[in-house]
Amino acid sequence: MLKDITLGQYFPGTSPLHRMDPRAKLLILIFYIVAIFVCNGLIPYAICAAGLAAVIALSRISPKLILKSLKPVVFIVIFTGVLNVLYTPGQELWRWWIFKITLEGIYTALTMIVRILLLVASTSLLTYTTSPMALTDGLERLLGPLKKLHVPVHEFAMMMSIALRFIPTLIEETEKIMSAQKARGADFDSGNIFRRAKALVPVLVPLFVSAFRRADELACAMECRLYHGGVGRTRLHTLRYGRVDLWGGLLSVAVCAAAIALSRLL
Amino acid sequence: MEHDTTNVLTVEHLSHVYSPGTPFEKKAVDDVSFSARKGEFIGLIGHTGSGKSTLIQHFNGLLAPTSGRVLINGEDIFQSKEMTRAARFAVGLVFQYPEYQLFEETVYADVAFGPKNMGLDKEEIDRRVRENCRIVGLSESALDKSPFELSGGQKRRVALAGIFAMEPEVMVLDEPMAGLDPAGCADVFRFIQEYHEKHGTTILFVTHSMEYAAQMAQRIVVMQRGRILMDGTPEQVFSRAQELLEAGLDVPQVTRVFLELKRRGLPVDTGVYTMEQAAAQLRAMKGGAVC
Ligand SMILES: Nc1ncnc2c1ncn2[C@@H]1O[C@H](COP(=O)(O)OP(=O)(O)OP(=O)(O)O)[C@@H](O)[C@H]1O
Ligand SMILES: [Mg+2]
Repeated sequence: MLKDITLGQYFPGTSPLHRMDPRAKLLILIFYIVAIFVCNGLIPYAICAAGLAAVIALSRISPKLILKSLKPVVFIVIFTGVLNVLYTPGQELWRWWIFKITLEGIYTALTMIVRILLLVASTSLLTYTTSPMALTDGLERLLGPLKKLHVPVHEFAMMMSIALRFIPTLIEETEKIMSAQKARGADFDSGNIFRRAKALVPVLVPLFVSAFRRADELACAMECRLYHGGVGRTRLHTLRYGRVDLWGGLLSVAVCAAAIALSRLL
Repeated sequence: MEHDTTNVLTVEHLSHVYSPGTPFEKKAVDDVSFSARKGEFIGLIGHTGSGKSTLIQHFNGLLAPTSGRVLINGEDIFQSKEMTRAARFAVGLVFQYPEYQLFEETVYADVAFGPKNMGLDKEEIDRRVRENCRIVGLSESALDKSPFELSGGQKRRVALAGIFAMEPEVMVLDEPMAGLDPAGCADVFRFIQEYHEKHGTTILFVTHSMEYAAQMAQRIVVMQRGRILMDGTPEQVFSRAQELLEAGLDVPQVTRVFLELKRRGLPVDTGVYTMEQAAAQLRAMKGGAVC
């Protein structure tokens, strides 16, 4: 169950996507997401989806993993889909009691579903192909100008990288504790929602205890190494844009722009 | 096959693959067959990552095998949901660092968690909690304390009592002495033995330490890279000390001394693994030399 959470997971590799600068990937992703939400119509979405499929193929990440990343949002997708189908006013196709299905409803629902799926799939692809370290590095550099406005960008980036770093650890820990409590006869899969919520107490208490202990230890270890924020910090690996970034960026912008333009024209 | 009826726990051609179909695919247990008889005291040893923890989590159905079967008293524990749940209670599993699973407000309530899940009545739960807390050396006054205010060693005792109180047919302990000081190790060692004597439970414990395995176990199973490398009495296993060393495993210190003696040409038997045996052999040799 918890193994389905792929957020923040990174699969090392040597594909062009892996070699890209994290800043380039982040910018492309932002542009892509804008495109998904601005687009309209079948052909533009087909272009967006095809573009993503091509990039997935290029990354050599198994499509199965991408599908897996979509699993946690299945519920949201169904929920928004149903709501949109039922509550969009327009040309009526079918009605029963207070429910009615409209042509516009089906259209909006499909659009929303495609948007959510593309959004989640493209974001997962970014974290699958970018190590958490590279990702936060990229983010810190991209947001660097905000430092002039006294936004603690470095601190945010550090917090984010620690959080990302500990997601797998916490998942592993949760699984271990769940196993240990199952071995003592705890039952997480039966009963109504209240019983299930109550059954989680034996997991959550030890989990919080150990999370706080870990946080304490980490803070102590950082202080022992004289960590004092980002002031004057130099880097071993500095980010540099390369040819992959140039071509990747140009191609992605071209595809997204084409999709947007088509949906304006049609 | 008469002896088969006394096999409480049997594993047939068990394999387990983690994360199949991803780049992280890993075969942790590879075609392992093994069975434990009633009342046996077994030590399971092996290098880090040899698949010990993975193997034992199949015994009570926490992990489902990729292939192969797990039988308790001859019944496949994965044949139905009820059987799997019954296996949870038939096989008590103490995880590594079990103190991290404590969660209740009092020691008493925490130890009672397992028995309560078994659906026992109040008196029986009370008996088991008090009896097993006594076995692990927790005083009556400790029962009302919060488990979080105890020391690490005491927490370990509470966690052990929590599984002891379920009175399983087979008790499996994953490195029960990890991270304790020598005195703490000796204590845990004693509790397990006392429990074994009292209930005649089949005990299987995982350890890195050959010394403990040699001292405690009647039978030793050695794992290497997901497979069983050796399975036999301590005499049988340690008489292959050279192989153990080649596999990167440790042997008890006395055994190592005797291996060295043999290498230097003394006619000793290298199957020894306790001080007493070593002393007896040396005395016998000395006696022989005098004659
Ligand atoms: N949840 C998991 N997901 C993926 N791989 C795992 C998982 N748990 C263990 N492994 C891998 O399976 C192999 C066997 O691990 P296991 O924990 O069974 O070894 P072990 O013999 O108990 O080692 P140790 O003595 O260090 O506890 C290791 O290579 C480990 O990396
Ligand atoms: Mg282990």
